[in-house]
Amino acid sequence: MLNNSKKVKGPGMIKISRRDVLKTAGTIGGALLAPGLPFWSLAEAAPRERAPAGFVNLSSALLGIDAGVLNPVIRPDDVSMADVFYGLTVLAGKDSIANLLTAYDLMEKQHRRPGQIAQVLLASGDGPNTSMNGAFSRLITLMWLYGTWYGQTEINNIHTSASGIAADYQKDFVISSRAYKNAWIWRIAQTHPMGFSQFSFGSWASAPPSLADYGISLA
Amino acid sequence: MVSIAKRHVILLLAFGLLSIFRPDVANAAGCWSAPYSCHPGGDINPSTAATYEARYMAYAELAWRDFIALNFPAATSPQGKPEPAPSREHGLDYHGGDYTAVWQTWPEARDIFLPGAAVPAAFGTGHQTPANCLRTDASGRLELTDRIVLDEYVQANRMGPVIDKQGQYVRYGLSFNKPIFDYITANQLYSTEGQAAMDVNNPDRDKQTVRFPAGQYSGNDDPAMTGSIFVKSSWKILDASDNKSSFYRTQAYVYDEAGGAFADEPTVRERCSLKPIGLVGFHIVHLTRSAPQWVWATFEHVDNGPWLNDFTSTLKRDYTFFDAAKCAASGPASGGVPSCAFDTVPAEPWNPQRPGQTPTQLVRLAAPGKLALAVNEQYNNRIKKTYPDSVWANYFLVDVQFPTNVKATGGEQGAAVPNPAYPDGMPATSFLSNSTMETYIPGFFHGEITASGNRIPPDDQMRTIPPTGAVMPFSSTGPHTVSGGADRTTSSCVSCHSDASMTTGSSSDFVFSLSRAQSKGKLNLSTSGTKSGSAAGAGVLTGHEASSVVEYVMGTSKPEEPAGK
Repeated sequence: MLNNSKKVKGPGMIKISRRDVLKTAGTIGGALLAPGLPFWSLAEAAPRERAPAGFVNLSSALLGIDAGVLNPVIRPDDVSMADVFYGLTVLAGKDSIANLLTAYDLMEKQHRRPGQIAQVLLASGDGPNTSMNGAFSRLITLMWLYGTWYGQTEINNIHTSASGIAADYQKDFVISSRAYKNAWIWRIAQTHPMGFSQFSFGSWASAPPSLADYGISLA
Repeated sequence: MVSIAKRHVILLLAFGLLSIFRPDVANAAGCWSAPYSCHPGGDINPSTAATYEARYMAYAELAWRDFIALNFPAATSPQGKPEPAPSREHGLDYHGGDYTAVWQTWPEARDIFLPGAAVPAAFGTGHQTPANCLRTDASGRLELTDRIVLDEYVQANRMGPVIDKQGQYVRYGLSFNKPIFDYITANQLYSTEGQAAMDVNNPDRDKQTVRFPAGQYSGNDDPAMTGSIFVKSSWKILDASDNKSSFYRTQAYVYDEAGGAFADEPTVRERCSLKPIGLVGFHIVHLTRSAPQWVWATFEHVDNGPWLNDFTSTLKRDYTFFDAAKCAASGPASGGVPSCAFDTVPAEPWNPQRPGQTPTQLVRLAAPGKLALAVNEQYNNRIKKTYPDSVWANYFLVDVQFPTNVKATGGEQGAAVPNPAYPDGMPATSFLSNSTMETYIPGFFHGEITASGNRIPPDDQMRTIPPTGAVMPFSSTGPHTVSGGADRTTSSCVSCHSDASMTTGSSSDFVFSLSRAQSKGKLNLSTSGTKSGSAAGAGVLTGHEASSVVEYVMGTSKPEEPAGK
């Protein structure tokens, strides 16, 4: 969604424009936050099962961020956000995520570039892809960006998406504080989440870290 | 086979020669012949830490190695004075656990950040004695002592004291090893003037100019590779009702400064006495090349208090800081939660001399992590096997905290440096606390609500798996805890210490104590002075005089001394 027209530089390294990302993410976020989110998560916050490589690579294609950066081998408390998000998608729509991963796997075998895959999954002509693959691609992208499950908003925008989302997940909610804290929107915006900061007192007087420090390549 | 044998002969000869001319090498060999090293490590082996589990285990093992080495009996001079090196004669079972450990020869914070920014005494020469302890030599001058001086009883960030069942406050000490001490003294960071000089080219105070020496991995037992370590200890004052033989113990000057720990409690009178004390908690903070945010480890005595999980079954024992009978009087535990209030901050005024104070009912929320339990089991078995009666079999690693995201190179000599995007290093474990040192910020547990009435989400709680059954800190198969996700709001060593600064306002490389530095002026050794700066007493020495006056009290067993005369 964010980088579907960009070229691949190397394995997993996708060109994205920070302006594109911020513009797209900001627009979506502003629109989606408007209805008001439940304060706390209803989801299972702990990882339920290990995310398959296809899920991580699919996420990488959708976000334009290297898979190894999204899902590092060494991470706090050994909690993989990919595992958390994958487990949630299985609860929200077991068949839907399975079909999406099958579609992704097929395109990967066809040696399609990540940007092209994202284009196919997210867009249809000048509009959004209204298929279930499109719905879950959007939901996955938004999980990574905001740490939030936007089931209700997805259905509000595209009513047919309801058929592939389990009843308990046809709502919007923050997945967990860990998901919120690790939301990629904060890194893309080179800032920190509201209510938490890894930076020290007075850091606001200094230039923010580069996108490269976050593992985001603009090259 | 022949070539191997020849190589062995050559190595043995070379080592033998080294042993003759390098006493430390001979000592190192002796240490390695035990089931543990008596020197701290320098760092983890970077080539064996490619996965989370491997890295975690490596840091946990480094913590245990440090713990054993630092608590090794100190060597003694011919005059009986403890020296900052491990004993060649004695092991971890020495004197029933009543001895001076290596780290107790290190200077304490109060020895370094002196009134008037006096030059600290030389490393390993003893501790500054408050005037009220009446340690004076024949000419009436204040003396240094080999006993540590415990003048702190309020937890970090003024969280409050912990009161044992006998009504005594837990006491705290803070000590620094030679690399830190040398760095501080070489740069005169014990004074505000020295700190200002450090920042002379840092006018906006936005850069970190302090860089303590980092330890380096070595396949050999090389004390020169250790790098910077500081330790924080917590102690219970022992009396006749305690099972003394279960504690590592020593004697210390327990000192109350007039006006209290922060000079804001007028009911506290100046008092000092030599007391028998037992170790209940021990932080080890170690700067290594792989961990520019330092490696944080904490150990506890097994009997400090029950774990929350323990309340899902019958409590089997009594504890140092938990009265099971009193708690049971409030009713039976329900849903794994005790019926009595626990981990409650004592009522003010916080005055250790005030009689009749309510003891702390201490309950541990977090069991060690699964991998910490595995390392505990390994080291506990090694200790028990070699020294079945060693008190150190009663201490366990609560857990470690280390960075997971750093720039692997960029520092001096190839050391890792912090990633500017994650200056805290994204630490694992997210939480780490010691029940005796961060008693009131142990993380959230099930059933808790926020001040505004919202329930704590599961991901933010300290979750013990399985949620039932007694915790066994030396068993890799028992219940273990998984850190919650909201580290900044409760106990995270790195998150808290990343705000540490010098008196100039720039970062002090995670060491809060640098903010204790005072301005150069007249040296007054009669006060502890390092926290409140209050002055009382008369013994005035120059730094040279202070370092030249040393008293040897190692091995003595003096009766408790009365308060100041």
